[in-house]
Amino acid sequence: MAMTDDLGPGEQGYMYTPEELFRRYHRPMVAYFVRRGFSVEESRDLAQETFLRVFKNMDSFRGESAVETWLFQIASNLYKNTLRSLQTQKRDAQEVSLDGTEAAALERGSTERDALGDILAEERARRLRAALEDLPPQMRQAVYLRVDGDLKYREIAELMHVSIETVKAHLYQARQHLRDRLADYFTDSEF
Amino acid sequence: MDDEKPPLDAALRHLAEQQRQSLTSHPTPQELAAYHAGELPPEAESRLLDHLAVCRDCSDLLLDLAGFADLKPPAGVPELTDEQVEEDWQELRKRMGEGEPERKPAEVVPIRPAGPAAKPERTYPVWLPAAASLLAVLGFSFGLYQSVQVGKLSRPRVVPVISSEDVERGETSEIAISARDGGVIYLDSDPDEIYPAYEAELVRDGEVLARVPVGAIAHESVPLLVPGPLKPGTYEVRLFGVSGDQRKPSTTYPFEAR
Repeated sequence: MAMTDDLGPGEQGYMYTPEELFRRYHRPMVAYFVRRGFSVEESRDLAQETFLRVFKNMDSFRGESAVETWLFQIASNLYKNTLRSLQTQKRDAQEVSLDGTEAAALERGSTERDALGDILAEERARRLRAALEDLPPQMRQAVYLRVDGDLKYREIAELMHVSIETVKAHLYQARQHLRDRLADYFTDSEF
Repeated sequence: MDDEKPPLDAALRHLAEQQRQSLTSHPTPQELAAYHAGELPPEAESRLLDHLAVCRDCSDLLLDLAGFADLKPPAGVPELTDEQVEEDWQELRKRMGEGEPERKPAEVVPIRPAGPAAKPERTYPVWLPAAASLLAVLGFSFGLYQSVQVGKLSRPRVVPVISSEDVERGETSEIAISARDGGVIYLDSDPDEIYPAYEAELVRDGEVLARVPVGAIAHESVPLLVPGPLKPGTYEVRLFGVSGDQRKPSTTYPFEAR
């Protein structure tokens, strides 16, 4: 009988018990919630709640996607429900702090927006919108992800399901297009 | 006017923020996952990309999905120690034990055991033939009762729950999961042969593909997640009872990957 000694989690033909699944994905799961702005202790609780749901509903694994995707969906549903619950508490009691959660994320850039709103004349805004509208959708999306999202080429490629070279080409052409159209209205920016 | 020209990147961020403010909804985790898997139709994909372009929360979520297996906390936040992971696991086990039993009696599918070649060694008491003869004498009703008990012992129950249509009740060869996607198989251990711990092997054509420790089987049942893709064919999950240094075959669960 042949034995595949080096087969490990994530490889084809592997299988997980609940404990295996937990030990493999607990740290990424906690990191997922920490990255959403929760404290480490809150994240450990949320990760535990996620796994509890995973184990109680293992039949929700339909297999259309990877194990990670399935765990992500359950964690993300919990994350969104938790946010909703926190926001409801805030509305009801006006005393629950949402620092570090989506509320904080939604407020990002609002100060910048107000300041810039003052300097964006209507004519400029109109021309900018028109120039952007003329770009093919993928180029426009790449511009926003790069400039507004401050993402790396690799991350944009990952999000858009294209190669890094394609991202670079999109951004190069978009820059040329916007320079040509908007030179009289905006100072040039590298992005 | 040239002196007052604002920078283009700041103007772009301003426009993005305006669009962000006008967003009325966000894609669900399921939609993000479907996009990640490339399963959205082109039109829906383009709409979702328009959303991602101006929604940092959703693009961050999606990037985290793409790198989920190796996700790290942000800089400055330490990863959990081994002790903390163990502590969380023990706490989770405790919480699982406090809940309702995991079994799903309505979905359990009794099937015939694997064929002789695949069936693990099983020891029967020496008095069994005598007992069987006695049953014949004692009459139909008692015999029926006993056959149910024996049947229960000799029929490992395999419940691939990936989808109900994959399960055709009562036919061993029809216990199947998707070769492309994999699935979950619930193993019911033999209630008359309880071991302190178990080990499971995934076997295809006599080749052991993976071996995982199962630990104790709570509620006499344990779910095994078998992710796809799998090479189509006949598989077995072989369950071994582990007690100290001893490892004894317990039950074999055959299934098809199609």
